[in-house]
Amino acid sequence: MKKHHHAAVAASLLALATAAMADPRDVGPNTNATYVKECGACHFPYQPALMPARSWRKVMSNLGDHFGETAELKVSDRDSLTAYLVAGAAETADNQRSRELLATLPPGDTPTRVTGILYVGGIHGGFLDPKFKGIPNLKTLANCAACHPKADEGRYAPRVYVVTDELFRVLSGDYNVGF
Amino acid sequence: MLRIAIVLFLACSAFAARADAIATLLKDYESQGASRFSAQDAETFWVKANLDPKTGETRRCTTCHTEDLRRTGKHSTTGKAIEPLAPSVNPKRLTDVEHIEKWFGRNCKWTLNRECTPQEKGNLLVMLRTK
Repeated sequence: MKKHHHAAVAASLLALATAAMADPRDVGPNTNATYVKECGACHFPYQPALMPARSWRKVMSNLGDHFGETAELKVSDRDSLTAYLVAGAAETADNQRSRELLATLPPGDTPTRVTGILYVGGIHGGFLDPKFKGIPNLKTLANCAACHPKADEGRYAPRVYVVTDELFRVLSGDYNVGF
Repeated sequence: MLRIAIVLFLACSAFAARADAIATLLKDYESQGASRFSAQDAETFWVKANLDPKTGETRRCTTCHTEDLRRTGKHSTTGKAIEPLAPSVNPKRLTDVEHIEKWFGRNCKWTLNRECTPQEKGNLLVMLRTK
């Protein structure tokens, strides 16, 4: 009986710990080391909760032409990473960021870039504008961590931005999204 | 003293792993018909310009890996850092057969619009290991 009691306490403690780690407001960190290693070799490893499952399936089924490059993986890796992305995709993830993101995505639309979702692309589109003169120095929007220092933890809230350039701040104004 | 021993041990194990990985691959390439690998040919290959018909871009190995193999490179689209290829500054390089083949596969297609031949891959390994 006592053993059962201990097991129950352990289980509830574990549940509490897990709940404490999951941030209900944002997408949270990647939990798959292979994903971070393989995909993160070339670009910021976008967390699964940033796109819907249909987008991840589309991306992962066409790695032979991944935005003009070959990003082919071993079949076993491709399949396990697809499963990871689909399992954690935006519609399954229980956080405010994913809900807001999906709210701007028409049901028939299957973007293959995170910036193909209006919530993300709409906010960031201007930051590649020549009038920023390369500050912040972004070649593409593939580098979330350039401006979001907590991007690795899956936290994108404006209050944790680090943008040092004055012009950038002026032009981006006090655009406020989320919380 | 212990620290020196550990550093020496790591250096030696990377060296051994590199020798193993390269030997395995060269043998493999020979079994596919390649022979007499030439570092000199690889040097020429490394800087040769290739026109990408789809984008009109000129692509070379050095586009991403830079002219100096001891320097950190840069992904041509995303700007992500690519660790130096030269084993002399990055001992992890050329130690993993699967890793080498994966990146030959991807990078030859990007740079040349085709796979590299076993001869070309062997030449490159023979060249890169001396850097």
